[in-house]
Amino acid sequence: MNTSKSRLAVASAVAIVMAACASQPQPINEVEEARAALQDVESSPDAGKYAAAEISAAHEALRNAEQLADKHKSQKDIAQAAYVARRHADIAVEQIAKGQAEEKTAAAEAERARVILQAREQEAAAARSQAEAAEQRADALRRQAETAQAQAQATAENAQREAAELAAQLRDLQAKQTDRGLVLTLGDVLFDTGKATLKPGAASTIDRLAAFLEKSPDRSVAIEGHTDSVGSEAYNLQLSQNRANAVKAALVAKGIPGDRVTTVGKGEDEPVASNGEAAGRQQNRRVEIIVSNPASVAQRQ
Amino acid sequence: MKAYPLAMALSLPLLMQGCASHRPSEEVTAQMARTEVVLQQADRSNVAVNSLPELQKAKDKYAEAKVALEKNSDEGDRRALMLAKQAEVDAQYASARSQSASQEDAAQQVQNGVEALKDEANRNAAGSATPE
Repeated sequence: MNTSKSRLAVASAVAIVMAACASQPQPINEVEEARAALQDVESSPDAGKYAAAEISAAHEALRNAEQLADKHKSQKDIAQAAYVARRHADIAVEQIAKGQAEEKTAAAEAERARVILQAREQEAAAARSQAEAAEQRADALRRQAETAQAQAQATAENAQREAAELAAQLRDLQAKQTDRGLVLTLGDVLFDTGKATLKPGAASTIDRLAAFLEKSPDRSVAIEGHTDSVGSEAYNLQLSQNRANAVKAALVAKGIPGDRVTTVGKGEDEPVASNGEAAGRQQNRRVEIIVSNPASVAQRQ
Repeated sequence: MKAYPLAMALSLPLLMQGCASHRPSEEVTAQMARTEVVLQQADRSNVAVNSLPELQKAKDKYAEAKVALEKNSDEGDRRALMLAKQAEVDAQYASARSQSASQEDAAQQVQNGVEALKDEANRNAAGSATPE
C-alpha cells in the first residue's frame, strides 16, 4: 500500500520536475537575460538618480543566481533568482521612466507659467499702448480745439479791429449815419461841369470805400446822382444817372461785384439846399453813396 | 537531479504522517507577510489599467503560494516561498509600471495644456494686433 503510493508519488514528482524543466528555458539563459536587462537599465544616465536601490537589489539577486549556478544548484532555484533579478531591473526601468516623466511635468509646468506670464505681459503691453494711443488722440483733439479757439479769437479780434478801422475810415470820409444807412456825399468838385467823369481827386475816397466794401461783404451800396436846377430836367436826370454810373464803374474797377452796387439818377428833384444861390446849387450837385447796414445787424435791430 | 525525487519519495511518508505537527519556516512566513503587504499597497494605489495583468499575475502566484503552504510540507513551503517571492516583485513591478504610466500621462496632459495655452496666447496676440 505504502510502496505503491510512494511509487506513484515519485512518478508524479518526476513528471512535475521534468515538466517544470521542459516548460522553462535553460536557467543560464535567464541569468544572461537578467544580466543584459540590468546592464541596459544601468546605461541610462538617470539610473543612479532614480533607481539606485532597485539596481543594487537587482545586482544582489543576480549574484545570488550566479552563486547558485556556481554551486550547481537546481535550474529551478537559479531561474527563480534570475527572475527576481530581472524583475528588479524591470522595476528600475519604470522608476527611471517615472522620474523622467516627473522632470517633463515640472518642465511643462514651468513652461506653462512662462507662457501665462508672457501672455499677461503682452496683454498689459497692449492695454498700455492702447491707453497711450487714446491719450495721444485726446492730446491731438485738445490741441486742435485750442488752435481752433485761438484762431476763432484771432478772427474775432481781427474782425473787431477791422470793424473799428472801417468805422474810422468812414468817419474820415465824413459819412453820416442815417435811417437808410451810412451816407457818403461826393461833392461836385470831383466832376467837371456837365461831365460824368470822376476827377483824380475822387480816387482816395473811392479806394477807401472799395476797401470798406471788400471787408464788409454783407453790405451793399446804393449810388444816387443829384443835380441843381440849372438846365433841362431830362438833361439833369441823365447827368445824375451818368455820374452815379461813373462812381459804380470806379468801384467795380476796384473789384466790387456789380450786383452789390445799384445806381439811380435823381436829377434835380431832391435838392439839399436852395437853388437860388450859388452856394446852395453847389451843395445840390452831388453824388450820395448810401452804404446799407449789414444784413445781420439789420435783422437784430 | 536524480537524487531529489528519490529523497522526496523517501521523505513523503514521513511528511504525510507529520502533517499535524508541520510548521512552515520563518523565512516562508515572513515572505508571505511581505508579499501580502505589497499586494495590499498595490490594490490601494489604484493600479493603472496597463498594469492590471501584471498585478493579477502577482495575485495568482500569491494564491498559489497559499495553496502550496496549506499542503503543510517542506516541498509546499519551498514552492510557496518561491511563488510568494515572485508575487512580491511582480506586484512591485505592477506598481512601478502603473506609477510611471500615470506620471507620463500627467506630463502629457500638462504639455497639451501648455500647447493649448500657447495657441490661445498666439490667437489673442494676433487678435489684438488686427484692429490697429
